Amino acid sequence: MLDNHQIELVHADVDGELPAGQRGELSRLLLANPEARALHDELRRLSRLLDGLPKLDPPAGLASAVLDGIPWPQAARSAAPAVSWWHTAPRIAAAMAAGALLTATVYQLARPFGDDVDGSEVSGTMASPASAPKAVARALELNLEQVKGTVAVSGSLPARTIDFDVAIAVPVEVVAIAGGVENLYQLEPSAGRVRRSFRLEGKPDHAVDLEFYAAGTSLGRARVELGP
Amino acid sequence: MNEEADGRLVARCCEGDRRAFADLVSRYQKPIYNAAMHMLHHTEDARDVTQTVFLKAYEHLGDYDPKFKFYSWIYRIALNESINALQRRRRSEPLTEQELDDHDGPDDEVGNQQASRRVQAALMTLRPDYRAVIVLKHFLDSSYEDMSEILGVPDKTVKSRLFTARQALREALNGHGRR
Repeated sequence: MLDNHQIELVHADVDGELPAGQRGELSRLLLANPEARALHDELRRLSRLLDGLPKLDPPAGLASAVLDGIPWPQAARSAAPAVSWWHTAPRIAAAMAAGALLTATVYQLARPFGDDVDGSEVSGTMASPASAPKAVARALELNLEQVKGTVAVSGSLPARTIDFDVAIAVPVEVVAIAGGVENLYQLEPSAGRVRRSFRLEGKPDHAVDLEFYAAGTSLGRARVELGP
Repeated sequence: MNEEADGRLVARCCEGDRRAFADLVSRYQKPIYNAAMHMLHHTEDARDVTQTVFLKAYEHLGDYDPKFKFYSWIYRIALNESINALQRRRRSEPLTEQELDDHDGPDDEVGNQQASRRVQAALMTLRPDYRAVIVLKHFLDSSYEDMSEILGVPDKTVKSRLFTARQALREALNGHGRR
């Protein structure tokens, strides 16, 4: 019959937590005691079984759902200093420049994102924040190496939405700057295209700047022009 | 897990950096989802628990004490939430005796799908506190020290609970599971 100390030695070895100073003691125990050997073997088999259970991938969209459910403080949404990684003059300048260079084209929206969007609004300009809310729907064709599809800004102030219809192979984070307010979205790859709509915070004057990331690395930038 | 990087991300979160929190979600969603799955054996519940864990983590980030490891802190939330979910539903999905008897023995090949199902089913026969130590040790790769921190119990209790849990698991796998 093994005593508690001997049982502890066996478990600690199987768990990789046996102190170096006790290895000799365990070796002697295993040589001399068949019951200890049997326990050791059985625990190792059990550990292999447990360690061999597959590591499951979280369901697609879980990270996005988590982030969508976070009650971000209003201050963080509207206060630029809260997001120092992005809100620096060089980065904004770079984003503006990149937006101009992007091989994407702004085009009139072919598909309506809301019933209240009429032709004149689609082809017209965005309402200024001071004027009566008007529906706006502008889309951008994305042709980044790892993100292809469209992103569109639609709806009326203050409830504007941003709609992604993209093909991606890896989880992508999107930072959208609208009127100095940072919005963060997560897109999870799926078998087909990823179609997600999010609320867009902020009151952009004439454009929404986007940057796409995968695993913390920038994939590229884009700009949805809303009008003069 | 990279503790130093975690600490930096937490600090950035506390400064209002949403992207830092997104990085934490990205880093921990898989282990937390897996822990919840092994605790609950239910996809939807595991998904709900994972969401709740991150929501609570976000809400209580200001209470997090950096002298502890971040992963210990969030794993503790995950286990507590899983146990709460078990208590709420009171409908664990234990294996039937037939499920246990339908298989050859505990030395099946690790990658065998039947063996995996059998181990998971045996796991579900354990009391939640025993299941939790197995989950910590084998699915979250926690050390005794980490487990002690996560569970808030002494090192000796961790070992004792782990030994008992394994004994119960062995019995379940050998067809003498106790509920």
